[in-house]
Amino acid sequence: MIVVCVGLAIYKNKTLGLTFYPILGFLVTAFCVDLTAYYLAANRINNMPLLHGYTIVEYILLAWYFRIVLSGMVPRKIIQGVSFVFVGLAVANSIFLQDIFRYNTYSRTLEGLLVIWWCLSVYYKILKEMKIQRLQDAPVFWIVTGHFFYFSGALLLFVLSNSILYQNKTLYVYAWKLHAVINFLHYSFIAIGIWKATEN
Amino acid sequence: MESNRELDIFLVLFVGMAGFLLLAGAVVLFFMFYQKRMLRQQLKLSEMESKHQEQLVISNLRQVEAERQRIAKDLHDEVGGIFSTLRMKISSIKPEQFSSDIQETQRVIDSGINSVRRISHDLMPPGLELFGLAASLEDLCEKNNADGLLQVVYGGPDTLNCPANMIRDLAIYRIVQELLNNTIKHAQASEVGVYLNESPKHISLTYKDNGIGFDSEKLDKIRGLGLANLQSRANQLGAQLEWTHPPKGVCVHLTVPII
Repeated sequence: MIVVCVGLAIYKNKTLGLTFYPILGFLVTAFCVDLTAYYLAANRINNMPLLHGYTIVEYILLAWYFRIVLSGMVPRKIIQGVSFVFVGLAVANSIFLQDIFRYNTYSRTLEGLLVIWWCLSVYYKILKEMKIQRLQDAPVFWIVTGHFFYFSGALLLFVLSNSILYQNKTLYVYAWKLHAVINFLHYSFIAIGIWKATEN
Repeated sequence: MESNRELDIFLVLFVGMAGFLLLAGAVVLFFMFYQKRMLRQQLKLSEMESKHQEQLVISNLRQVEAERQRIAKDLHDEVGGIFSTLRMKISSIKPEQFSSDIQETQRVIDSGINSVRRISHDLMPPGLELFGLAASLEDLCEKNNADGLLQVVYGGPDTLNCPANMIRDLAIYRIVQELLNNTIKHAQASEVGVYLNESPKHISLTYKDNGIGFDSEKLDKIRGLGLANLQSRANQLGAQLEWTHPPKGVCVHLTVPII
């Protein structure tokens, strides 16, 4: 699904405007991290340090996207400031609180909450400006809704991930299969959003 | 026992994730419905606005048509009549009454000149370009005073400090003219006050009469009084036109930005 999204994004990059770079960056990073994580797991190497780094990069790319989408409503300095604070907390968490070989539940949960907040801000902006006539044709609606569904659905998993792992590994695998379903929904919405951008 | 506990955890996780997902879906659905509703309201408002604009345009066209009819009538009845009389006078001049006939002819010609001047002045106030808005309004008030039926008071400066703008000044003049016409025709008033003021950014005009006034709730139904035309002129200037209703009569405030 990510490959489809990347292909679509590159195919008609001009119609995505300024949001092309954060979207492409987000997709390419996700693709590379997924491949590397799969390779490490296949070779029985703990891939959690990768997730610690990915959480930071993913948030920066998403914040870049939301900074563009929310321009005119949320000052860019606020989004940048929040990003700096988040990166600081995530790094501190990886160094002092949660071992890099364990799931970074704190950073991931905080990231989820922040992204949900930005998504709600975008909805508010759309309602306030009323520039979009047909939501179903607006790329921003699909992409933001994809992020909103993913981070809302997976938030509980981010919180409980370590606890489940120590309870039962089979349940842990089932939980992450559930996550894969939500992630599929996530990238499907992004793909529709990019596709809609090509139609405009 | 242990497996039951694990199942419970999985159930909590599964139901929790599904619950959050459903909640997110509900938020998105609410957002979509609300956005659609707001769009419908916006559409309704813009339709009302365009309908109002359409009414203003129609009112303008009617006003122009009425003005043309008035000019045609004036030309036909007054100037045409004068020339016919003149023609008859000239054809009936007798040598023995030459002096008195010439005098009579001169009187008719003077009357024709006056009629042409009056029609021309009605089309374009003569002093507006030469002496400015304030002097023209004062002149207009004095002319209406001269009839003796209505006492029209002008209050304001002799000249305005802001640079003259013919389009703006003519529109303000026409608004006062229309208001005076309404007062004369409908208000049964004995006194009128026209007050002109100037600030660095605005020209403001207050018009008051002590007539019977009208019900503000029926404002939309009495557009025939030329009120739509007044609003249209104010809109063209980007001005604010406000109606207030003192205990007796009507009070109109016009605030025109100085551009």
